[in-house]
Amino acid sequence: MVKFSVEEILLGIKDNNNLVLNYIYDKYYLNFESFVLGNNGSNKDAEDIFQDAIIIIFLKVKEEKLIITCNFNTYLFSVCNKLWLKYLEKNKNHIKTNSFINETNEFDIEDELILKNEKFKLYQKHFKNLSKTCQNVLQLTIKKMPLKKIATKTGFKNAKSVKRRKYKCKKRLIRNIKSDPAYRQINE
Amino acid sequence: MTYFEIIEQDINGELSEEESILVKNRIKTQSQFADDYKLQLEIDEAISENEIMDLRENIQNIFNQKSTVKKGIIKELISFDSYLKPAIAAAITVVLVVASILLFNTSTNYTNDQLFTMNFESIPTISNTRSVSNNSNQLMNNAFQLYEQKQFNEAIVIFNKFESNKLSQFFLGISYIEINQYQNASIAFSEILNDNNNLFTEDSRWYLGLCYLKLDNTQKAKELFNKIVNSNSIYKSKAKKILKSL
Repeated sequence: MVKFSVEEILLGIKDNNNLVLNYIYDKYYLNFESFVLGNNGSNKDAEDIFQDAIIIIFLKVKEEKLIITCNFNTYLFSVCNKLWLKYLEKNKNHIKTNSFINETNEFDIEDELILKNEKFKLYQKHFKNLSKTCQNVLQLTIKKMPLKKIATKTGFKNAKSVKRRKYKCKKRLIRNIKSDPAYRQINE
Repeated sequence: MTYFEIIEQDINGELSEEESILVKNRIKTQSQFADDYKLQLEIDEAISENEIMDLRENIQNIFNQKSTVKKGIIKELISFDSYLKPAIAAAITVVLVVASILLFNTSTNYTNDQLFTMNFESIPTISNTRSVSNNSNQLMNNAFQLYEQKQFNEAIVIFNKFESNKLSQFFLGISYIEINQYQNASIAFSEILNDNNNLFTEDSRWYLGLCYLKLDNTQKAKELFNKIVNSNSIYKSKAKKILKSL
């Protein structure tokens, strides 16, 4: 297996590099999955938490120019650990049993960052479920592209129709997000 | 203008200064309005983050691919079904026969260490393509995958969780040998031998004997190899040859 340094891994996450992401899975996932399964979690829990941990590391790399002085394994499991504890808080039927929990608390992963990831995940999931036209219109208007130009680019009759469609799409997106049980859970 | 449109237009800077001030007041005084305003802002931020969406999608794809591969080649040694045991015995036998042919054509005096090295061979796991039925099985699968990848320390952590399972205890012992922890290995094999009524007794006795060689406990090793010689064990001839060298 090709080996990557911590810096290469962080850069790979930032660049969405397939080779690095595959490496992370091959090298670290199985251990984490075993930990979750051994603590009454499911494969789905392990997958969700592990994936969220990578996104959180991405957010940290992007926002703070994260520098890790330990090995990547320690840092990754520290993030996973924090997410696992959050998960346990929400799902009180699970029992904390494994020593892994106490071993990797040395890094502080901000609650705000975890919340931001949860929100992004939910909003983006529903955004991806919209039609391609809706997705295009919403993204182009957020980028402040003039409505007239969007109309030309996307085949709408005029700026007014673009605006009408934008409102319709965004209202639908908000409605879908608000009706998702995860939205209530996030805002509890 | 609707509630929603007011918020949208304020976010987009389309309201007049006076209208915008009114919006700010509503944010301060009406919590529902403030929440919706915040939500609309957050949504805009989230859906403009293409990098995160692409990364999440890519990670999910990788997980899906790996999961498919994993299911295809999964090693379910787990439920300890009877059909697995002959397979394990067969694997061990192949190793032993080859080792016997290669190593015992002549009778020579060897040190305990040499005897161990000549007789110990890594045991491969046995493949079987069955779907995973529960968490416990999945966990054990992971242990065997780790074992196969020679990540013995990690495999040991999981094998240790299945104390009452003889198959798990057996591979726990072998894993300990692989990382040169012979004392721990001997404990695992002894545990199996404490319960005579299991299919790993014969193999465990042999490997425990090898551990004693490595631990330089010749007396105990001799006792075990003598037991093997006086039984119908598949290790009988090998044990006999070791005894000659001790």
